[in-house]
Amino acid sequence: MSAWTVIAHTEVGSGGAANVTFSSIAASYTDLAILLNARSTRAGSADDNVRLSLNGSTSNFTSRWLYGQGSSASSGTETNYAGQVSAATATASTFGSTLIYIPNYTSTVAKSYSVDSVSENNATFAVQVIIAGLWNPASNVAITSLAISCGNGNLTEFSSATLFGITKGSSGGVTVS
Amino acid sequence: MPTSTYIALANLTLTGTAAEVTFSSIPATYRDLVLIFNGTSTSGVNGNLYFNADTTSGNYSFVRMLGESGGASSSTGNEKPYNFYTTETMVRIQIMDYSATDKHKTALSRWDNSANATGATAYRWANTNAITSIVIDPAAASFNSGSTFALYGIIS
Repeated sequence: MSAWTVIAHTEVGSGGAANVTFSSIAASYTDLAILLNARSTRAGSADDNVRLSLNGSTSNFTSRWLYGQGSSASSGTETNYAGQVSAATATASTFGSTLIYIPNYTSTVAKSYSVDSVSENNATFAVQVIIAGLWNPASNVAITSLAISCGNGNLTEFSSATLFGITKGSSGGVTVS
Repeated sequence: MPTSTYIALANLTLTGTAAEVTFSSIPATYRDLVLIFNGTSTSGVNGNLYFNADTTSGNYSFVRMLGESGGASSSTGNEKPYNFYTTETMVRIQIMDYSATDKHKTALSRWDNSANATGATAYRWANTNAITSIVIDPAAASFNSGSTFALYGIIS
């Protein structure tokens, strides 16, 4: 049996959407992964940032990012930051790609998340960013819902997101100690 | 029915501290391996990753990029494809063509701790043998109880 299982897939329809949300996430898996291929309606910019909400909350997040945009690299801190997507002035029909990986999402400790993201643009300005994130609310519980939105616009039509569950296990005689 | 290509091979959740974690008896069945570990260590470290019990530093090389409080940086060195910290840290490592016997082994590592750093490392083991064991060694520290380790194989 494959360790990766598609839990749900969604594609934004005509008119765009403020966010994509996955709800009622079962506690059946070990880790979660979200693959996002998206574009923002943010006017006057080639990119926009991605925001993550867990269990309906955008609070109690910390993150550290490393960012390159074609001519320089920088690092800094943020809150519920989860990547970059293409926006209105980026090359037409171009969508950014993001992987968000959340290990041990059902645990009762703070939840780490890891992001690899690119905004995509056929020009000298495009963004690649990696992010270390942490969600640490006062009461650490299993993640049962997550939502992805853009910081300065809506998700455009044809943006898509897929939620995967990854399940640990054993096979093939491999041992660990 | 589609063929499963991403197979869970082994996993461990620590019930006490551990100076290292070892995956052994890895068959040559798959194309790539993926290693995911998440947890904390007794102190912040640059961690080691050894293949087939080879602990010779000069047999490993890396180039990495790092974002931390001092800003963005890049460096090279031996043996240490990830950092691990006393607060929640996660590491994802993909080892390509691990069972091939005609090339050195390469891996891509991503490691994350929101309080300290985010990084990416390209790693090479200068050996053409198939990988049959992996040692995850946090160098001058230990992994804490509750830390989790999982190995997956990807079929070509």
